[in-house]
Amino acid sequence: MSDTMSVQVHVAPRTPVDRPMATLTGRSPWSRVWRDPTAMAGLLVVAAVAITALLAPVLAPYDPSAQHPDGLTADGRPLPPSGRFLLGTDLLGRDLLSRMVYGARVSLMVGVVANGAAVGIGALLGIVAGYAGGWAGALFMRLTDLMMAFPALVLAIALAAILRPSLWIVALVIGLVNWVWVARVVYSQTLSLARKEFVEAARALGAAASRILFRHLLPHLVPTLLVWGTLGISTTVLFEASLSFLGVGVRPPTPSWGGIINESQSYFLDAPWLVAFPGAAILLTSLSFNLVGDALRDALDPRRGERP
Amino acid sequence: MTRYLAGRLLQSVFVLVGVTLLTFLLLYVLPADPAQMIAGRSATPETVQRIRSELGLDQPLPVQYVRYVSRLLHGDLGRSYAQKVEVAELLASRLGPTAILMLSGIGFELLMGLPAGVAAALRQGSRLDRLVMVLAFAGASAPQFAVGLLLLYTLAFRAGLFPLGGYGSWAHVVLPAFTLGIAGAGWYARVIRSSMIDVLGQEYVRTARAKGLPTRRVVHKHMLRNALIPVVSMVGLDIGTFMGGVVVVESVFGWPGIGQLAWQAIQIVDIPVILGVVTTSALAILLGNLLADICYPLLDPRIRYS
Repeated sequence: MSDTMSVQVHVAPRTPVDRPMATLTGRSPWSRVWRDPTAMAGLLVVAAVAITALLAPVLAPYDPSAQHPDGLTADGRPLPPSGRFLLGTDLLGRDLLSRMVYGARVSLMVGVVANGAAVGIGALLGIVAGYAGGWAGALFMRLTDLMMAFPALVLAIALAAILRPSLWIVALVIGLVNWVWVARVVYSQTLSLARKEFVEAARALGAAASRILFRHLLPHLVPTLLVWGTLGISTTVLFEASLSFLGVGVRPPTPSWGGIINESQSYFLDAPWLVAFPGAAILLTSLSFNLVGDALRDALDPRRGERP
Repeated sequence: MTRYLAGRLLQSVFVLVGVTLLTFLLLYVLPADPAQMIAGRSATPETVQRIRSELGLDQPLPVQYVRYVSRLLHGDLGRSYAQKVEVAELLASRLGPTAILMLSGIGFELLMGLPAGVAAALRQGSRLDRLVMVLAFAGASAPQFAVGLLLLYTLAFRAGLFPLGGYGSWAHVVLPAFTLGIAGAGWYARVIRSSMIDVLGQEYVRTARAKGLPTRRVVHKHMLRNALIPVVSMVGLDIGTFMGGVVVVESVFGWPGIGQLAWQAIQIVDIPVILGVVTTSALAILLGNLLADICYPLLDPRIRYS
């Protein structure tokens, strides 16, 4: 190593893919996921949440907004878990399990849509700025500096509070706040890819910029985007839950995991299950996307594939 | 070094201006009428109009922004719409509690994250390593509000070890700081683990071992110092984000910090306060990064700014 190191010490973003990745090689990356027990566990949970969300009307034992006359004690308190209400009831005598089953829909929908938006925006801006370079690249870097200096959650809360959001608005707000990390990674990868011979060859053959960007460069970025598409969902699920917990997420009566905890907050010392069960659902979902994404990253990055 | 830092400072000023401009535009473009909010629902249109002109909200947007920035440059953040107090005063009263929470939160992160990450790196591929990595992900995936509420339930309410939220003594700090620490520790463990593994393969570590230094000394003197560099930039980042207010944790524990101020201001669209919080918070993030920049050469003399 030379005696003066670069001063740019890259800080891993909170869901980091901080190394450039080679393209897909030989075996399917999934084969590595199959063989990794923690990743498999993650994949199973992700599948379970997805099935729960899809089949919510079939799986939920009751209507999530039905207020059961026997769902509260005689003095009007929520019921702890029992045979009739498996996870207990909430402050209005509604079945917690049914509400959580429907809550999976919000979590997953916002997670996938918001993260998709973030990855889409980030990829598009990053690849264009990285290929254009020059002043466009400089402008891009300043814009991302600006976005990174923004207090993301405060910004999202302000937007969400003012817009009185639906599920789509929440997803869009989160996407608009989160794109910057993906953009930075895509930008730096495009910068180094754009100097490679195959790009020069394509240019020499007279290929248009759009063709080089989307036919020649984009395929090399697919592994990165795949990893971000998975890892990012875990952050997004947490983000949505935080917004709903603060009461600026998807609006009631639509049940969401963060929202259930928000509604029960004033009563949680008497009914801790109303916090524990939705909290566990959020943790498990977010953790599982992290585990799957991490295994995918190991599989797609040969430089990190030397782990025993 | 001085030139490099001066350049960075100049850059920060531009970022700050950008942040205020963007926040300003967002707040005014969105369909919320602060005058209506202040006047209340039952106010007559005349009252609303009077409030609007009192606050200068009837001026064109560019005029309002220029006014805001010129006052900002004189250190005047304006007055809160809701409580007729200077925004600077409001912010100042919140800085102390937020700083305490920031420092103790980072303390917990380092205390839990670093030993776990180092241990995992030294036994790479072992069961311990895998356990630490899954726990690290779990910490980072745990919703802070649920963790905070459950800590309050178990340790404060059932066990009676800590007060049930609020602010005042050291006992009040432990649970919110621990809640912050759980999430961060996971990231610290992952980062220190991977940078320790990188260092592990370096020649100088092999040399140190070959000349017969005890493992403990190799780890402490030769590896940790080098592996800590990415951790320093993470601490810099955390100083910034935590000083900007941790809305969720402050709201769960009733901690009177900047996050709570932001949350209250957002609910009533108290624009000067929101702008003040966002500006402070961006400033904190920039200063945190700058602080990390200053620290690198102290840790590793090979890093020079030229």
